[in-house]
Formats: sequence, structure tokens, C-alpha cells
Amino acid sequence: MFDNRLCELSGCDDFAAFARSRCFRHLPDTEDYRNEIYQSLQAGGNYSGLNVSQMPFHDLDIPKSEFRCCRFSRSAFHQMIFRDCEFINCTFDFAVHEEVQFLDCSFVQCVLSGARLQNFQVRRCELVENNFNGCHLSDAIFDDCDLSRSRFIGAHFFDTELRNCNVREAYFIDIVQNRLSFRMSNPEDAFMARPSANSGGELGYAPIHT
Amino acid sequence: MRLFTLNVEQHEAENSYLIAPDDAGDAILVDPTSFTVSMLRTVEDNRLYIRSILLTHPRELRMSGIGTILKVYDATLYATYPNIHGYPTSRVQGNDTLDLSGFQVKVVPLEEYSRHAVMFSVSSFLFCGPAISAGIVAENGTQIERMLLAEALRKQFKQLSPTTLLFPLHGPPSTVEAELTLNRDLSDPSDGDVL
Repeated sequence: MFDNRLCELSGCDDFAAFARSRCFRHLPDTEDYRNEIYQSLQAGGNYSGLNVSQMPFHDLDIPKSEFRCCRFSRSAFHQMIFRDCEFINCTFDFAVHEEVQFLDCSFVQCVLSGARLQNFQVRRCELVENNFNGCHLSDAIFDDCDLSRSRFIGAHFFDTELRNCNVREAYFIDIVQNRLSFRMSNPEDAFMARPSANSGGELGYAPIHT
Repeated sequence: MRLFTLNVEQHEAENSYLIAPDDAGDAILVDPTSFTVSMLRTVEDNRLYIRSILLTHPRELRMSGIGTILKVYDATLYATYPNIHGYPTSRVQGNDTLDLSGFQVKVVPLEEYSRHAVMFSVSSFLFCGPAISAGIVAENGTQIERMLLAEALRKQFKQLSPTTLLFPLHGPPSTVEAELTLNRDLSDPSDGDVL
């Protein structure tokens, strides 16, 4: 379930942090709160409605967990490993991921739009129908992943490899790229141009805006 | 409040959504395009009862599931049409506010998409139907009509909190902030190029 409580401070439109009445930015005890969340995440478990937007995370190894309707918007992740985690309807929009690895994870209907993904590794993951629009990816690798129906509209790819990935009906339109590789993937089944009224869109590999 | 996205597991192209209370009780189904066994399981396993069905744009929806749902549940259809495939509806129009099973549902007009199109706002969620999907404003007749639709969407989105989650009929979800800042179709000519 989503937790839609707003920060109690007047004029703040952000959602209240998990188990608190204020958003993370306005907590008086951000360090204590962060340690509390870290301890919980490191134990693994099922999380529903967890809102930790704008919170920095670093040097954590997260074991098998399920995250449902959780908010990580504008959070910062540094040197993190997620193993066997499931993310359903979660938001990571405008978040920063540096040296983050997702291993054997699944994302379903998540929002990562506007995120910055640097030295980002995703291996053996299911990423069906997720929103990566406007993402900036650099030194990123998606290895053996299912990205079908995910959207990378307006994304920027630098030194990024999608290796052995299923990109069927994924959208790579209006992208900017420099050394983007689809090795052993099926870009011919992805949309590389905007759908028009008369067709379902243009399929096939057509690197643009190099 | 819980939200379930239905159909994703079935790899279908259209999303339906189930808005449910935290515990057992009456739920609202948005844009059902089919009604499968797994959807039924989601409803029953969570001890929910479909009491209301919201339709953003009946003409564009495959309605095969409606008859089945209405055989199983005593639900009311809410749409701008007076009836859908012979099933009577409770008619709604833009700017109506409905109280459905304790949820406040605001009907957001979208005549720029079509005379019968609306969106539904519930808490911090907006169910957009086919008018927009993540990064793309729907093709809608001529270029001018599409520009008018983009203008209408931009205006509606600017009235919402940037953190509002958008749930479209097609594709992954998005947020108001992401669409206003990253969707080229919605870029405001008076603001210059947002990208």
C-alpha cells in the first residue's frame, strides 16, 4: 500500500518518511533515522509503503526482500548491492545510483525516470514495463535481463551495454547515445522511433543523436 | 489505501488498476479490459469486493471483462456514456467528485482527447486512461488536436502535486514531475526547450 501522508510542516509537499510525521529532509534526527532504516534493510523482509525519498544510502548489501509501493524518489545510492529483491510499483525518479548492483532482482511497473545511473550493474533481472525515461546512464551494464515494454524515452546512454537482454517492445526513442551496445540482444524488436497514428511505431535498431 | 496493477503478469498491453482499502472491503476497479482468473484471485485473496468500476474512455477499452465482472460482483459502472454495451452506467462529468467506498474520486475532464474522455484523481494518484502514457501524449487526430491535448494535460498536471503518480492505460507508471520536465510532447513552448 502507498503511504500518502504528507510532511506535517506547512508548505512542504513531500510525503512523510516511513513511521514519521515529517519528510526525510525535515526530520530532526536524520542520522538516527537512517541507521534505523539501514538495520531493517540489512535484515531483509517485506516492505510495503516504505517512503525513504531523498535519503542517502551507502555501502549496504541488501538480501532477498520485497518492496511494494515504496518511494525512493530523489534518494542517493552509493556502493550498494541488492540481491534477489523484488520491486513492485516503486518510485526511484530523479534518484542517483553510483556503483550500484542489482543481482537477480525484479522490477515491475517502477518509475526510474530522470535518474542518474553511473557504474550501474543489473544482472539476471526482470525489468518488465518500467519507466527509465530521461535517465542518464554511464558505464552501465544490463546483463541477461528482460527489459520488455520498458521505456527509455529521451534517455542518455554513455558507455552502456545491454548484453543478452530482451528489449521486445521497449522504447528507445529520442535517445542520446555514445557507445551504446545491444550485444546479443534483440533491438530489432524494440521501438526506435515515435509511434505514429498509422503504425505501431518503428521497430529496429537505429542509433540516433550520437 | 492499496493499489494493485492488474494485467502486468499476463503480459497484456493494457493496464487495469484496483484501488482497495488497507484491509478487506469494497474496492474500485479502473479500466478493466478483461477479467482473468489471476485478477479474480487478486480480488478474492485480499478479501475485496468490486463495488465500483471507473471507465476513462469506454470506446477505447476492450470490454470483454465487464459482463463477467458484473455477473460476479454487484458493481456500478461510472463513465461519461449512459450505457456501455447495454450495461447502464452512473454518468459522470468533468469536475464531479464522487465518494466511492470511502475514497474521494475527482473526475478530471479531458475533452481535448475526446468528448467522452476523463481521468480520475484519487488521493495522490491520477488514472489517465489512453490520453497519455509515460513519455508520450496519445496520437489524437491532427497535429493541432494533439497540441491542444498536450496543452490541456499540461494545464491539468500543473494543478497537481509534482509527486502525483500517473497510472496510464498503456505502459509503465510515471509522475507529474517526470512528465512535465521530461516529456517532450508536454514541453511548454513559452518555457523554451525543457530538455
